Amino acid sequence: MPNDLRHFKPTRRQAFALGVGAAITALSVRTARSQTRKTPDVVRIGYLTAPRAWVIGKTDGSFEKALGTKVEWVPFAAGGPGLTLLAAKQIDFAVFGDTPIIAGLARKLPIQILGSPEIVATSERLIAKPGIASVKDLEGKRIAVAPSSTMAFALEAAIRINKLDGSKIKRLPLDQPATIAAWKRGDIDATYINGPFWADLLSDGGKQILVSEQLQSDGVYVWNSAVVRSEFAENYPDAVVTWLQTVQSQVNRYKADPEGVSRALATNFGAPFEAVRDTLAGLRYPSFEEQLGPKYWGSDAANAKNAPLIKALTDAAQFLADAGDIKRDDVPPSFVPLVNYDLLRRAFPA
Amino acid sequence: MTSVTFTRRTALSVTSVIVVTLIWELVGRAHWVDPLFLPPPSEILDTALDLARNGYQQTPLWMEIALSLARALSAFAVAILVGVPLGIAMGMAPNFGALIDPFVQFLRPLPKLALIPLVILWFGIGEVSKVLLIFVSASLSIVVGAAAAVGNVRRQQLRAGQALGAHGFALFRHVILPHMLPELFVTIRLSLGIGWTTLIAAEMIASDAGLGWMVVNAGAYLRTDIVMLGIVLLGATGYALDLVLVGLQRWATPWAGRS
Repeated sequence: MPNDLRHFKPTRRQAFALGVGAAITALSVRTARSQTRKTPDVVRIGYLTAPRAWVIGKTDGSFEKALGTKVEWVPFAAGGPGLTLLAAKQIDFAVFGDTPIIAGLARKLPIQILGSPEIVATSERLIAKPGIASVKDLEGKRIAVAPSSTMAFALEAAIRINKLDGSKIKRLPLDQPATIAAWKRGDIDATYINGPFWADLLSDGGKQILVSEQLQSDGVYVWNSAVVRSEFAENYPDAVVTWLQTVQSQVNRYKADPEGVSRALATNFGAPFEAVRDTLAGLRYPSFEEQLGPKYWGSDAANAKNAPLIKALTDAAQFLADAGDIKRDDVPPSFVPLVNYDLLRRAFPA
Repeated sequence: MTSVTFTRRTALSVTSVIVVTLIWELVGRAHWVDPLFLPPPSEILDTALDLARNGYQQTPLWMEIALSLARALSAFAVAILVGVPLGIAMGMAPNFGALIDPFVQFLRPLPKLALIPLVILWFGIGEVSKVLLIFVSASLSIVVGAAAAVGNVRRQQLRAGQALGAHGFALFRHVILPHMLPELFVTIRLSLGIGWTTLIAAEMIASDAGLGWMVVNAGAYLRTDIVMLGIVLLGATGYALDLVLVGLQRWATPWAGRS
C-alpha cells in the first residue's frame, strides 16, 4: 500500500498542477475578454492634495454610491509620488499633471489615459518683480519653479516660444513655500507658480506677465489627466465607465454651484475659501463629450492622430527627453494606444 | 588583528558582494522582478556609462559627485574645527558644559528637514544654506562625543598625571588627549555618516546638481535606474570616506586598544 501511494503521488500532483494551471489560464482568458459585471472589492482613488472640483465626490460618498463598493481615497502631494503609488499598485485611479504621466508611460508603467478633465488656464502664472514687464525681459534673471512640475514645463515652453536664450536664465528648483521665502528675501526675480501661492506675491508688488492659457495658441497645453491602472481597466471595465461618469457629474456639480462646492472643499481641505475658489476658477473643465472632439483628443482612436492633446503629449515627451528627464529610446512611438478611447466612448457615447 | 585574518576577511567580504550582485543580476535577467522596481546591475552600469558620457541634466556625473563631496567635506571640516574644541571645553569645564548642553541636546535629535524653511529664510538659497544644514547635523554629534570622550578619561590617570606634575595644557596634551583620541575618532566616524545622510535634505534646497538632488529628481520621473545608481554612489562614497578615517585613526592613534 505505501508503495502504491508513493507510486501514485507524482501523478496526482501533476494532475493537480495541471488542473490549477488550466483554471488559471481559463480565468485569465475570461478576465481578458470579460464583459461580465464584476465589481471590485474596493476602488482606490488617488488625488492631489490641492483642492480639485471632482474631489467634491469624496466629501459625500458619491463614488461609493455610483460604484456600489468600498472606496478608499489616497492623497499624494505631486505627480512623482502619484506615479510611485500607481507603480506599487496602491491606487487604481488618479488625476494629475500630464508631464509626470508621460514620464510614467515612458517607463512602461502599465497605466492608461482617460481624457483630461482639467485644463490649466490661469491657475499657473508667471509672476515677476516690478521692472520686468514681459517674458522678453527674463534674460539674465533668476526664476524659481517647482521641480518636475507642469510649471517647470510651461516655463521652458515660454522661453522657447519667445526665442529667449535659455542659458542666460537661471532656473532655481524650489517648492512653493520656499519660493515665497526666497521672493521676500529678494533671492529671485520671478517665479512660475500655481494658485493660491501667486496671491501672496501679487499683493507683495509682483506683476503677472503670463498665464499658462496664453501658451495654447502655440500648441502648448498643460492639463491634468485621469489615469487608470491597465490591469484594473481590463478586470473591471464597467467600474471604469462608472468612475468616469461620476467624475463628470462631480464637475457638473461644480459648474452649477462654484461657490458652494468651493466652500465644501475648503472645509474638507482646511484651506481658506477664497484660495480654493480662485484655484478652481483657474482651471477649465471641458466635459468628456467635448474632450472626445477635434479640439482635444479626437472622437476615437482612428481620428486621434492629429488631435491637439495627442500632439501636445508627443511634444512634451520630446521636451522631457531633451531635458534628460526620460530616455530618448523610451519615448512611445505613438500616444494613441495609451489612451483608452473604448472605455471613454462607452462612458460617453457619441 | 593579524594580516592573515585581515586577508581572509577581505576575501569573504568581496565574495559576499559578488554573490549578492550576481543574484541581483539574475533576478533582473529572469524577469522575476519588474526592472522598474529593481533595475539589474547591468542596467545601472549602462546608466552610469551614459551619465558619465552625457551627464544628467547638463551636469557630468563626476561633477555631481564632486559637488556633493565638496558640500559635505567643507561642512564636515568646519564641524570638526568648531565641534571638537567646544566638546573638549564642555568636558573639561563642567560648568561651561551645563550652560551649552541644553541647546545641543535640543537641536541634535531634530529632523534636519524641519529646519529647511528657516534656513532658507535666514540664509537664502545659495551654497551657504546647504553646507550649514550638513554642518549642524554633524557638529552637534561631534560636540556630544568629544565632551563624553573627555569625561571618560579615568580619574586614576588624571591623578597620576597631576602627581607627576602635569597641570593645565600639559595635563591635556600628555594625559587627556592620548586617552580620548581613540574615542574621538569613533565619534568623528559616526558624525561623518550622520553628515552624509543629511546631504539629500541639504540638496533639496534649490539645487540643480549633486548626488542627493539627482536621486530625488530621478525619483520624480520614475527613473529607478538613476535612483539606484545614486544610492550605490552615495553608499560607496560614504564607505570610502569611512575607510579614509579608519586609516587616519590607525596612523594617529597606534596605541588604541592596547592599554
